[in-house]
Amino acid sequence: MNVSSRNLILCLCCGQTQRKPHAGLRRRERLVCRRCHEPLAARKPRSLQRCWALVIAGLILYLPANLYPVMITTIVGREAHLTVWGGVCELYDTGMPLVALLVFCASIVVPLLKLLAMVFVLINTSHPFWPRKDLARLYRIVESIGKWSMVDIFLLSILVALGQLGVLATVVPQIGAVAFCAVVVLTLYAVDFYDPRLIWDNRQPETTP
Amino acid sequence: MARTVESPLLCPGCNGLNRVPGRLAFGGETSLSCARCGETLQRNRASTVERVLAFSLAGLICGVTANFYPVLTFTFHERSQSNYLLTGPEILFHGVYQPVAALIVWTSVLAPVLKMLGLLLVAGSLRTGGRVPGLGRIFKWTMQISRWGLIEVYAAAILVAIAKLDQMGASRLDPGAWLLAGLFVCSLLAGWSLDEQTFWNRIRRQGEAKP
Repeated sequence: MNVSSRNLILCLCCGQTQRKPHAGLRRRERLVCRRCHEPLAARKPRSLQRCWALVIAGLILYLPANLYPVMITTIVGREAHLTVWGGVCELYDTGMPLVALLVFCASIVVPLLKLLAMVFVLINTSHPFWPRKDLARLYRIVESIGKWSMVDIFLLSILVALGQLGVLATVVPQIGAVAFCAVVVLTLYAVDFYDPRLIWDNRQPETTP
Repeated sequence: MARTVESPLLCPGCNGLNRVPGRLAFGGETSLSCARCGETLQRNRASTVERVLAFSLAGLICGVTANFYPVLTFTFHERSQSNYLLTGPEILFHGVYQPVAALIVWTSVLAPVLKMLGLLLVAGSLRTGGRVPGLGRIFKWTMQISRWGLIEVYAAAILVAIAKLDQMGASRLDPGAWLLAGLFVCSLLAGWSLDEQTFWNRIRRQGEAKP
């Protein structure tokens, strides 16, 4: 019995490895998983195109997300237009360097790193020049840190709710928040649409140690 | 508890073929990872259905009640304002900020609670043998929704908000925050106790059993 990855297929829904049928599919037929009955595909459909599109859109929106203010805070008549960077500076100036670092990493570094890392991974998929094991690790890191960029949006939600003290303190959302949200969602989907198995396709088989 | 693994296994991360000699029984809280890329292939969890049932029930109770208690109260010049989970989104919910509000509600309220509800339904049905139509579909959607629950990020945002507000007035954590913490812990523990392969096998067996 000759078993290789070529005549097996994995269900991404339930993780069942199964044999591909020998005969080709007829029209209007599709492969479904024998365990969970979800449609099967060798790779995620149009993975690279979708991922590129979302990453480029994310890179474009990264600019307004950082250039426009996320909120305007008015505290005892003092009005401040806070961009993401402005928020970090404000925290740092008031003597909270650790919290400032947290917001800086979550809101500025993570989205940018994620976008650049995805560009790197995508280029490497079609023109491989980096060790694929490192590439796979990079993808897994990007996958796990992405959610932390939501900190700024949640912070906005809390501050808006608390900034209802009338004339003393108000917090008003600004257009930067919308762009920021868009970047978060686009990058989450970009990572999701990418199929890490493409890193390992079309390359010389690695000699196993 | 031990479970048998059907060999061979394809890796979801690299499509590498992992051969487990014959049918391997692996016991305890162990997992198998891909020899080529290191991705986790399968893991074994003792009494996974019972543990997921317990944690999801507790998490669901925390998650639902968290909406009815204030999370944070801020006192500024003798006036105080409380923040419920839904206060912020409610204020944001007009004009161009609607998608922002929707994203906040989805990731901090709906997704975490729906995840717990889905797990409770699936684990409950598997435990009691009660037949729920479309159980596999429910489990699939629960797994997809669970990635959108961002309670831990919300917790970080609460900390940043406290740090920001501390120079102006007094802020205080309220019961809602502790319920959120409970939801987070339960959600984490339910995720750790979840052995997806066992769940799928049992869902399939239950679906095939004669009613």
